[in-house]
Amino acid sequence: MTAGYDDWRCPPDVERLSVKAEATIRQTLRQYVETPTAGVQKWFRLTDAGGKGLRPRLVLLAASLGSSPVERDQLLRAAGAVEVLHVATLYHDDVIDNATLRRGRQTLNAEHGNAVAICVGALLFAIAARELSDLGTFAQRFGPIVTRELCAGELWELEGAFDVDIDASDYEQIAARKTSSLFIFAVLLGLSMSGGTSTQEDALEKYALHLGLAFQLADDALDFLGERDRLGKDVGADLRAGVYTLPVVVALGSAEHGGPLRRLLLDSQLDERSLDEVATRVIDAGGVADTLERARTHSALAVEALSAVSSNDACSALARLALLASSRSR
Amino acid sequence: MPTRQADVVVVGAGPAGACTAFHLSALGYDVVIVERAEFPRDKTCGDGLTWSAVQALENIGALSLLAAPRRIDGVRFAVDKRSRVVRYSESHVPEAHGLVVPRVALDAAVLTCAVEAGARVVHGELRNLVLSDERVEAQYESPETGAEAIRARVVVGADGARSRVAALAGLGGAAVGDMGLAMRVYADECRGLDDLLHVYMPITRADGTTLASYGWAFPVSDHVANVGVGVYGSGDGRGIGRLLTRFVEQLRQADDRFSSSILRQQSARAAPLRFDFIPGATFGDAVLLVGDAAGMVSPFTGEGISFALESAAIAADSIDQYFKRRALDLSIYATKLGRAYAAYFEAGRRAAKRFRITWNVIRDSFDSDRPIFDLVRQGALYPELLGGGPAGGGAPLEPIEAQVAAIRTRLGADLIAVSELLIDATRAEWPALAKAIASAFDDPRIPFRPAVLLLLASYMGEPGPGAATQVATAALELGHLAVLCHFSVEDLEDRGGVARRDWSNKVAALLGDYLLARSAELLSSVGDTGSDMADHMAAMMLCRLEQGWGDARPRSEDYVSSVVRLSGELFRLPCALGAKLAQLPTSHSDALESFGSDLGVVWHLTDEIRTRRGLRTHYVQSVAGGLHDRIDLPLLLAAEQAEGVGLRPWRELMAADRLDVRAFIDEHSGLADTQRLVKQFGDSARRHLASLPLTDSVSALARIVDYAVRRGCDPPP
Repeated sequence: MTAGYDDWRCPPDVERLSVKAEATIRQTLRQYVETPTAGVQKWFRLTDAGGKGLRPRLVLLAASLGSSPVERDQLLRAAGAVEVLHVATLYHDDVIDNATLRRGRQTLNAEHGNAVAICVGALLFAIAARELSDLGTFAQRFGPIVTRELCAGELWELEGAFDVDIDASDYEQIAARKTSSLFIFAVLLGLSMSGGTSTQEDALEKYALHLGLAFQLADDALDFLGERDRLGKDVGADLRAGVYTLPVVVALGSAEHGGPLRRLLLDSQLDERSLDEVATRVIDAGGVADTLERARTHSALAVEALSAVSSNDACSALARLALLASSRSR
Repeated sequence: MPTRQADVVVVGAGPAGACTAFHLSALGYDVVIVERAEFPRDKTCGDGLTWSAVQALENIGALSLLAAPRRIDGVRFAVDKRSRVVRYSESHVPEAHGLVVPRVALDAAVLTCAVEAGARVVHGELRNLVLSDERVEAQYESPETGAEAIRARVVVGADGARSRVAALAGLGGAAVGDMGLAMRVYADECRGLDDLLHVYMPITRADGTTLASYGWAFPVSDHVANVGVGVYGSGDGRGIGRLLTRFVEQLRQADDRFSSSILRQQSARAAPLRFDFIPGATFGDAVLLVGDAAGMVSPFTGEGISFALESAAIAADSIDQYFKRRALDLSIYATKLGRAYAAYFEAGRRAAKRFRITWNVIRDSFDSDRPIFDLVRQGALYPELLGGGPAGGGAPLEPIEAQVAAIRTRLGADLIAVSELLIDATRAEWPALAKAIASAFDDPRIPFRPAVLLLLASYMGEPGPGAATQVATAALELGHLAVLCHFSVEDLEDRGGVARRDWSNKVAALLGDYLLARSAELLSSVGDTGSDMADHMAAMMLCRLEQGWGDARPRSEDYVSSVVRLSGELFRLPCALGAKLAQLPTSHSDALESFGSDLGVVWHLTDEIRTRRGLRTHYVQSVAGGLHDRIDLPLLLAAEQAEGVGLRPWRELMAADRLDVRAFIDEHSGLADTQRLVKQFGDSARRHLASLPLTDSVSALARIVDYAVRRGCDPPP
């Protein structure tokens, strides 16, 4: 049985900080919300229900690579801000995708409606922005840019809907903007708070780019292997919305399966039986295997990028994470 | 073979070419038009002329040459079974009108004008362009005399979507036929055609699926219609023929006016649609492209004549500048075009995809009156009526130019700068919207927006911060539009509970996020304002989230508190930021903030009064939409008055229809009581202003308060 994300351990001091960061987030949110609204309480649920706290840990790990001492409260707030930003995007993504499940639970929009989910998401965006505005030049300048990149990625994905001619590099560009950009922001933000060198910046940026792609591609592949409930995400919804992830893109290029797959995907109905056939064809055409292979390549590239950074416990943790991204079962 | 000489050779005698030739001849240049067809000749087109086109034709004296043009008052758009009518006579330009003129007549008239201005026409088909010694030689094949050539300083390509000039000059756009195709036919023996252009989207195929497509029926006379279809994406001739046949059938069955119409089969013809306009690809060393040759067609409506005529005028002006050495080269044409149009169109691979999204949104949100969807509709379907048009029956803009007359010059300059910032911030990803968003700021009547208060507040400082205030104003406007977008996201049950791929929600969410991000990016270049803005957005979202009134009736005091938190805040921040950027003393900025908050409440409550009176609030001003769909202060005050006098169950009131509710409100003086409160807030706003030094900008603010109070408290017209 392959190791999962749950087996990933950061150095103990980072783990401790990470717990404190979560407490900081709760405190920050309470400052904004005198009467806790349903939506804000749901946010707490999200992390309890298996949210990984991955991005805050990236901030904290990157911060321990620089040479200057870090102001601890600032660092905790930075880690918190990145997580709040991430959750904001999840709420909005779920509205945009009409998703009903996330991590095995009902989405906020499914439970309380789109209007609420959008407002809570926008509120969290505002809170993240507020925090970042207090955290130095890098945060102030690049926070908005990251958000814009995330939007652009979503937009490109949306406008590529039902495009059966999309190619793998288009797809990777979208994935990079949607997933990697926040990872990149997290590591560079952490590093900026501890005075990293430009060599370290370049290295971490590269690391985060490949890390994001490794995660995204592995997720895309795993979506096709599991059953609906176990995965917690509605795969069919993606296909019905015309969103074709890399396994599908690869399979569309197959001589044997490409044609039939095209016809299936463009059928406006796409019932359960057709979905099963799509999944089977995608797997048979090697779409899943190919995607996992690419994910592993990105993991290796992420680890390689780290070699330019001085080796320490934080670095090892980052390297282990990169490998786990593409070798986990969930 | 003697080579002729000329100043300019224009290839193509259609409206773009003839108009270019007219303007250049009128300036005294020697112009030769090379045209391969014998005039008069037919062209595939809807034959519809917008008000812009009509004005351009008036300019060159072509209108008087038209025999019996059909006068048009507007457009009726139908999407599936819903429709909207937009009329010029109900817009801010009531004298505006369109026309329908068959191309065979229109083109002949424009060419006549060009010839009468001195242009010469030769009959032939362009073969080659040869550049040498700062001259370009246009080589063409004449059916009478064989190979001919003309040497000129500039060649203008007005030869349509399949422009040979563009190809020869290496300026080719998308492979022709890749972007779209249109086909039309004339229908005789129609009955009772009216004064509207009718547009239908989309067309359904026989198998029930829809294409990104539209159909049209334009009245040429009482009994003759120009009927056609446009399809996006690559297609073939036979496919579009079938589509047209099907569309005509649908029209005959659904619409009495066409039930006994007869098609003039010989008049059926198709032509490619290109809408890949890039300013940089409209000129070369000695070449300019105008009209369809430059891909200047609206992807949403297929309209191209107004752009043809306007680009012709711009081309002539650019050539004139170039010949008089006031411009170094013809790039000045691209610059002028870019300024005028690039926010309408977008080029490249992504153009078709982005267009399709916008089109999907228009279709899915067609019967929603939420402001952001109004905005998208206007920007895409009737950009002409921006800045005050009836977005399907809406109210005209509320200009404040009278109120700000004393500081007009300075404010005007700042507003233009803001409009350019807004276009730059949005054109890359949302070109159809960029112009619409900016229109509120480049309109000389100065439509009121909360963000304008930022500028007015900042004028109290000396000498004033300039660029920073412009950037902050643009950022604030984008932020407010983001809020508008986010508030436009609906729960599908609200709209009949049909589970489908709802593009309107997706795009409202995405567009909101995008505008928010752009707002933050802009603001990051203006020091010290990011946290104010973030708090501002958070406050408005919290306000909306926290009112969970559900079935219960809120107390009017609680409702007013919510209004203060939402609309008061919306108007407070611009004042706060303006004061901060102008480094005003605390007492002044406090007074301005309080003024802003009170003004916001006035505006919100007068919005509610106006809505109850049946006046639609233009998207540009609407703020009241943020709180609740059915509850407003007039209703709450009426309900409180009614207590003990004849209590009507709240739930019943919530479910009653608007007329019923209005009657209830009138019976219990809901509007009058709201007006009383409006005046109180208005007086409070004035008191805060009174504590400030009396500058021109403060006087302007006071006049704005007066206006705001009157808009809800004056007796209805």
